[in-house]
Amino acid sequence: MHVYIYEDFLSNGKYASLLAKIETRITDLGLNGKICRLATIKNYHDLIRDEIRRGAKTIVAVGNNVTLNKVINAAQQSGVPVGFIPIGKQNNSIAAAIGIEPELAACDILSARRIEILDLGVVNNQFYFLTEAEVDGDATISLKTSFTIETPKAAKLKIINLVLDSQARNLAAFSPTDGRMELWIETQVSGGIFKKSHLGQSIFGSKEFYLEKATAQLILDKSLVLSPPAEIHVIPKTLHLIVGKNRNF
Amino acid sequence: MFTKDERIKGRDVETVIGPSVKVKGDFVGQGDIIIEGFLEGTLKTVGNLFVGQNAEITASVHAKEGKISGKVVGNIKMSGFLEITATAHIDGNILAGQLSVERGAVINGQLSMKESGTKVTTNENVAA
Repeated sequence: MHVYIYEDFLSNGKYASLLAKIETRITDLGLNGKICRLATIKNYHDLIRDEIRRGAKTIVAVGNNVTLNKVINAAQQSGVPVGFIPIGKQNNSIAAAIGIEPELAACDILSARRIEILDLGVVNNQFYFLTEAEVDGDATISLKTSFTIETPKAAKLKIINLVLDSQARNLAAFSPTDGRMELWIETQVSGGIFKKSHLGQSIFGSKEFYLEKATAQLILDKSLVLSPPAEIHVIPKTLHLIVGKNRNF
Repeated sequence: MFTKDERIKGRDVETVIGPSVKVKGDFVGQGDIIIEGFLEGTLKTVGNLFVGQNAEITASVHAKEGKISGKVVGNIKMSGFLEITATAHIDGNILAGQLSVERGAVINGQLSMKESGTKVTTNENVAA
């Protein structure tokens, strides 16, 4: 049985017509199942885990990056495939990275059931993320290696499992199936008196990272905000995710 | 600095030390490495090494093949081909399988070819 997790914002009446169309399409494709609305449920973790225990065949997040991150956090390591139907354009950057078309078209991708087993990042052994952990504010990140990295102030830092940023994607090969993550650093480089400043990028691969300074925040999957200190490591091949053929990995 | 084409070709790139980023310590890699910033310590990789025009390295360097356009203080060991461009400034000994030095490059140290083991110059300033 498919279990559909509807995000809080979908209880707004403006989505009623779209949801009706999606539900019709899902029924036509023979993928109908149980609908759970997060608006009325506070503990989504227990809800999703209960559904998995009851024999859910697929857990489908219907909403945005936040919904997908919630489902991943509850369903990780269960072996139950996770699907995604992105609704709206706001905060839905992960969909394109995993090749999922928005709204109705996502139902066909769900039906095709192309499953990839992906790595996940985990913070303090508690909070999971699929794409990236972005550092907001001044922070020092250390790697469990024999070298240290010094960055100038105002550097932008991300720990990437599945890359969302097209600029970073051009620089190196990122893969959510290689059992490691990359620390990506973007710095402003002064071009001198007569030249324009430009952006410089750095990439360091590792399995473990440690975020030290407490003045920064860590944003997982562009949705979940945490405060340091944070120990971040990769769990290889743990998430069964339904993806589209236009995914970026 | 490397051209966009060279970077795109380098989708095997494992590590990029960008401009204004400084790495200190023993750096060991398994893939290609691009350095456009600063490195102090030692650098070893089984892949290729590209050192950009504005990069500054104070380290002994071991790699498979490489292209050096920046400043290196330390010994360089390449099992394959090493290309030294006009903007390179190297203070240290070089051991490479094959070597190309562009006019304008500055090398202060010994040049040795791996297969023959023949020293080309000894402790002399070379301005190619």
